[in-house]
Amino acid sequence: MLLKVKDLHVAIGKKEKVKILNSVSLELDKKQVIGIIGESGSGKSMTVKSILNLLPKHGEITQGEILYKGTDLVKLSDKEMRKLLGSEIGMIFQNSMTALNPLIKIKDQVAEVIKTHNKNLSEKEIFIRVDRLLKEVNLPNIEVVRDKYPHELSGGQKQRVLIAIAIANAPDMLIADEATTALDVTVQFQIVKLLKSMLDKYDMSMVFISHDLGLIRHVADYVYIMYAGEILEKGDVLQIFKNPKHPYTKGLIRSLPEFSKKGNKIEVIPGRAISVHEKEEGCPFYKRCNIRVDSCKKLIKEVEIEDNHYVKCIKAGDRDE
Amino acid sequence: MNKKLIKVRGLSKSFDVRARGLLGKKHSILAVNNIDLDIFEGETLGLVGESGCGKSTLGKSVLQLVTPTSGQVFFEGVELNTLSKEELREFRQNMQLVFQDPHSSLHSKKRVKWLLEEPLIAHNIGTKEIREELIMDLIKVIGLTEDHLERFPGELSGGQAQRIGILSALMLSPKFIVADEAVSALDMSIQGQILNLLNNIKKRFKLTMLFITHDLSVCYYMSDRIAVMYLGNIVEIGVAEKVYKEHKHPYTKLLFSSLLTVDKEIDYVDIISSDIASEQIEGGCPFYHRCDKRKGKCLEGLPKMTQVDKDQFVRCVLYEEI
Repeated sequence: MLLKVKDLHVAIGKKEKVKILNSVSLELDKKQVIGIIGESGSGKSMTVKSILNLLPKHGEITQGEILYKGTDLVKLSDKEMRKLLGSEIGMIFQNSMTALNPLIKIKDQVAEVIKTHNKNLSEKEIFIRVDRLLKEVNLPNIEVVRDKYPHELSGGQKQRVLIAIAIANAPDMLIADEATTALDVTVQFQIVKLLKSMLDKYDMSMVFISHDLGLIRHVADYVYIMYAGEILEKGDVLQIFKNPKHPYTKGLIRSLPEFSKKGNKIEVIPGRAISVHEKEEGCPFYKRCNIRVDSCKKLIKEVEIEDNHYVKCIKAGDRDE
Repeated sequence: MNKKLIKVRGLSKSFDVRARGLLGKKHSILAVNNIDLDIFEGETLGLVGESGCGKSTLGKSVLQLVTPTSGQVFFEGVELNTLSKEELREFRQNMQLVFQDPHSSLHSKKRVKWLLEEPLIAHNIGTKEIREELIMDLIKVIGLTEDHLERFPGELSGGQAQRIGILSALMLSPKFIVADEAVSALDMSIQGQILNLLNNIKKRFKLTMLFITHDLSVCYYMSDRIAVMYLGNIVEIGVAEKVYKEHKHPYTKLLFSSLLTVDKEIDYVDIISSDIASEQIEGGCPFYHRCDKRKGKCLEGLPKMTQVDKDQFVRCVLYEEI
């Protein structure tokens, strides 16, 4: 087990604390890709921010453990954490325009990550590695591209530079938060392809976060569905998409336009996702659920529905309508 | 077939860009290149393409929100570019735009009621009572209640705000609506609701719609016909079914094969593609650099639109001889 998040609770706020994550547990094996699906405000980004110790100022882990190779990241000092980030853990974020420094040539931005974690390398050795990395992420004309500034590159190329930075020190774990969301379909496809080949080549594991069901379906091995700071369902990617059990997961998949016949109405989930502020006890999906019963207002426990497939719903075991 | 509501002929729009600094040479970028397009009464025409292909510019040029560099747009036979400013303003009642991001397109300091009444006042429609009655009626059509009328846009969720954005476009009872990425900024469980609403109002108010999107699944679901744009040109247009399943242009093929949907198995090895070329090719096929079927003659002028099937046209030399 590479990463194990156990019963993580996170609260945020200056005076009044609002619980934004409620008992989140994740497991990431070696060479595995886990996907986290959720709408905005569901807590998917906060989950990885907790893992990376990048929570905003008034955010706080109130309970739980984050075990990375057996060490609890929650207990690490900032200095110890910085050592891990960029070397053992690589990160790719959504917006390549803001993730790169606009005033520094891209070769120097890639070099910086290598330098920080390999103090003994000479300048020459570092730039040999930079070139190798840029080549590996399939950037064209490296002799020219390495000397460019971020704004001179296309969106896809910038995303490639970010991937180069993320894998610069051959990490064991990649964390990608909406890494392809801002890209066009054809470019997104290439980046996904590149990510997959890098994972294979370096035996990396990845936590892949997205709101795009189709994307998760093609990238992840194991999937977590988040809603209002909780994980409502988790299972192997095929179990989740072929045999979803939670009414929310079912509703999400059913509301994809590709599953509705032209001219027919899309079967949608009524209402909107609640924010963590409005949360009451019991199932967070209660208000929008079409199979709710009174006992849903009490604490809902996770049940195993088939091998490795867990659902937080008391009605999930019932036969399908 | 229905009659043509909108006829676009030879529409081009270019923007001047200065290269590097104040003293840099000016050059122009052709965002929309000599486009001919018909939109039939009552249909939804989907317009897909990647960012920078000119789909929004085309939509705005049709509405005359962007003044075309050349070419004509006819709306029920009226040539829009010959109208005076005042006449055009009057004419705008017929055609409206739904924006992508409702929160930035609605005035944040005005209440919903004001936002909905404003277009009516601007066009001198009805008395205060009649206007209010109309608003009360319509607010229910879009699935909101009278309570929402007193709110500010900031107090609405993304889906609710988009409903208001749609309704404000409907207030003048237009015949034609351009929806520019109208669901792209919405959460996935809200997206379906808004698509249903758009279809609903389209039927109810007998609208014709130009639906601009980068999302292929959404485009297919919504559209009767689909036009695919690449670097300012329409490269394929046809009945949605055909463009989705039996597309002919290499670019359309690339687009659809790159689409990662839940119900599809993908062979990653099969699809080879390179980055988008932003520079245009003088006189040749715009897709030349990325095409895996390119030949020498692709560079001999822009390929012609060729009919490959009933109501399906492709701009590719491979089909020119048919």
